Amino acid sequence: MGQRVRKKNVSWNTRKVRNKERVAKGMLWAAAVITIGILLSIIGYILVRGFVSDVRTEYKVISKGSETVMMGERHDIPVSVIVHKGVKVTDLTAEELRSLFMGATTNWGLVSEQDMKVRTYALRRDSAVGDAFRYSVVRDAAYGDGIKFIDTDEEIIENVASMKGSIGYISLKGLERIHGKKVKVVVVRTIAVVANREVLEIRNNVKLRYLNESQLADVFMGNTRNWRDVGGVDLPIRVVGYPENDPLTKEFEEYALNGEKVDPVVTVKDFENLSKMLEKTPGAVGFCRYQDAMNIKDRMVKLERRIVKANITPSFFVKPPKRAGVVGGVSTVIVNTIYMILLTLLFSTPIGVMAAIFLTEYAKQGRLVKILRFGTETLAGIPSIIFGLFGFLFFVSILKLGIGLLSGTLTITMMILPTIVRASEEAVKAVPVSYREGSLALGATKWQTIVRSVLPPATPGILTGVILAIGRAIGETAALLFTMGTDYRMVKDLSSSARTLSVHLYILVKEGLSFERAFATGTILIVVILIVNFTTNRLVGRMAKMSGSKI
Amino acid sequence: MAVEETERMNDLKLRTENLNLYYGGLHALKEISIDIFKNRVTAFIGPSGCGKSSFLKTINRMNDLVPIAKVEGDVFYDGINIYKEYDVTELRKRIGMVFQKPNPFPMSVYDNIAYGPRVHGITKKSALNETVEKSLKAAVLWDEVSDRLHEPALGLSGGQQQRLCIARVLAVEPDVILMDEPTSALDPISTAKIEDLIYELKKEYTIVIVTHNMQQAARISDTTAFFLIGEIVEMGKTDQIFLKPRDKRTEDYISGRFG
Ligand SMILES: Nc1ncnc2c1ncn2[C@@H]1O[C@H](COP(=O)(O)OP(=O)(O)O)[C@@H](O)[C@H]1O
Ligand SMILES: [Mg+2]
Repeated sequence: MGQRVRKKNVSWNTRKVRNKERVAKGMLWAAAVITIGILLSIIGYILVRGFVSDVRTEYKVISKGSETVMMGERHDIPVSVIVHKGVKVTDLTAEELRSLFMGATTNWGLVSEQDMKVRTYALRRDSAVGDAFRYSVVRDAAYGDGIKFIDTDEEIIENVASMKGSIGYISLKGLERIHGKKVKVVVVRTIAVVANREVLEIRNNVKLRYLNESQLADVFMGNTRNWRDVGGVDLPIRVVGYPENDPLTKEFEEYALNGEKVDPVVTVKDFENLSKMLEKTPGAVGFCRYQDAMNIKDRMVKLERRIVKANITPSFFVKPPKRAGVVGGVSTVIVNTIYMILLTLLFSTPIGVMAAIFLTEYAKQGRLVKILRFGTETLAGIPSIIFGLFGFLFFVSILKLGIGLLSGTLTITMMILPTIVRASEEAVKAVPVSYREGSLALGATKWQTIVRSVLPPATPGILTGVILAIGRAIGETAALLFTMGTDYRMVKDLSSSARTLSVHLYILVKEGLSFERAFATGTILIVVILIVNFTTNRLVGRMAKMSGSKI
Repeated sequence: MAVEETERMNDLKLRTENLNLYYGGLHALKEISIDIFKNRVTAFIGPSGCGKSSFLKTINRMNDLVPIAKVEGDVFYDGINIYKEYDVTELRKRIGMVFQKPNPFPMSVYDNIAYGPRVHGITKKSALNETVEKSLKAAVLWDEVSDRLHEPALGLSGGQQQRLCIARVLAVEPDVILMDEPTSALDPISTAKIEDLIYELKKEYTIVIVTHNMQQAARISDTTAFFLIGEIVEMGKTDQIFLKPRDKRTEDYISGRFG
């Protein structure tokens, strides 16, 4: 009852105003949530991509393989590939193995991201295992120049264990002797998927690009009946298999289908029949050893492999970059960035703070100061590439400082000076007049007053400006490319070219070197900025606590 | 008579002669000619905006900070013309000032007191310790803060902060202390404490106090001057001003008819 009476008393206008208020509040809330949501998702995305690498790569063989591979013309000789323990590979495709032993891959960089020379060891040709390996892996090509031929498994194991970056192969018997040695067995992936030509052709603007792991399983288990369903042409799928008890069928089922059964429409005895069957059956698909598939290269189906693993590892921090940044870490780049920041602050903070003090405390507040202030404000908004251009012309060319740390930091100093001046001015102005009066009334000079009772309470505000400036400097690329250069080695002196994290990131993306590494670098950048902000906040907080003033 | 006159002259601390102050076009002080004597409390009363603070600031030259302020006439301190023959920092060291709102620096209690001695070149720890203790004791604050010397001064209560500001002035060993409505921001108990303190301090220092509160002037001062729109209307013994004002305007003000 009371409720109703009260409601009646609320005039129409009051209700209208209230509703407006509610709508306004809702809109503000939505705007805040959207903004924060966008920011968090961007940072979150970069951090996730930085910490977790989710790489999808196309291969010509399935994602899994075995430690012992049947080799030779009749696939009846078991061979295992071993590497030195320090080589960070767990598996190799038949193709990679071939390239390593042919001498086409001479550095582990592109395989394991390690800058390490490849050393290959092979058994002499006249042994059965040696012949089988040669037949299955090296095939029609020749062994690479650097290869060493050795007589026994034991010697291969000894050699591989003693030299970094070594790779060799041994027989099944030799496998028993690797225990306790500095070698490990590498899985070799050898099963390829081949299809009828029509499956791989373009028709009506569609073409099968690749099969991912689950699509592959679905195709061979009969869950997918048409190529259309996996992104290919409109053609029924016809699985051609080997007999159920064929070793290759077993292997394929274990590695590609998680132990489930292949569901073939037709079974063939061997590769020859398989390839004939594929030839004449539209929509047909089968599997075989890579060595055989190489005979019908153009009919191999590309297979996608997805690897999710840690992207940033501790070694990314402590190792210097190598091979354009594709290999190694970013340690020297981090150090260069720190040098750049420290030098920049060394130049810009004293100048900026002194300029701010002059403008607020000493300069006659007239036209000149207004012009100066307008100038600094304008400078703060000028695109950094302009500063880069100026730095290049002035520091690099006219002053002949060359492209290097000094030119770069001077350019960045120019760029961030306005930010520091403005923040310092605001901070100095915000110091209560009563502090100045108190100090002067005690007989302190103006300079003493500034140093002892204006600057200390202004420091948090000045630091806020410095943080902003650091943020700008850390994120800078355009102003640095032509003034500080892009050398990722550790700087030696003021004139050596140096690459910062942002420039590194820029180059990784621009040169298409590695998105994974770009995200890892981006993550480090974000973490560095977070650390800078966190420590300065702590510092400011502690100073405020010491002085007892409220911030 | 002559002897009395010379004695008076010996006790003279400050004298202004035809002092005029302008803030741009505003004539804030008009022809002020007064004497202020040693070891006395001289109070200035008057409605707000009449120029009391401005007058105090001409004595320690804090008006120098106001670009538009212009001073005419003379101020003598111990017979020396402060606008012509005195170093301003030395002057401010000799003539300390306590402000209307307590304005301790945002630093520890200790550093607040040591601020003055430090800017005047004293760096020896023992000397500073001694000064800090002596000044805090003289400002009757020692017992309250001796165990928190290194804590922020801004954590003290308002009354304690104002006594700290007085102690801070005492630490530079001044001769005259100017106080601009030192209790106007304080509660009655803190006010009473400051008044007691002023009574103690006048034994060693010459005190010039501006107050908004006539009862305060009556309680603590020996001499009172009544200011009105930049002019001294009447100046004399406090008892006489309050009991038998000569000027009608003084009487009106004291009896609460305006202000
Ligand atoms: N810094 C200043 N600039 C301009 N005018 C001022 C300044 N300080 C005070 N005045 C003016 O001088 C007059 C006297 O002020 P003040 O000395 O503060 O008075 P009181 O202390 O008696 O209240 C007032 O009219 C005030 O507006
Ligand atoms: Mg006043």
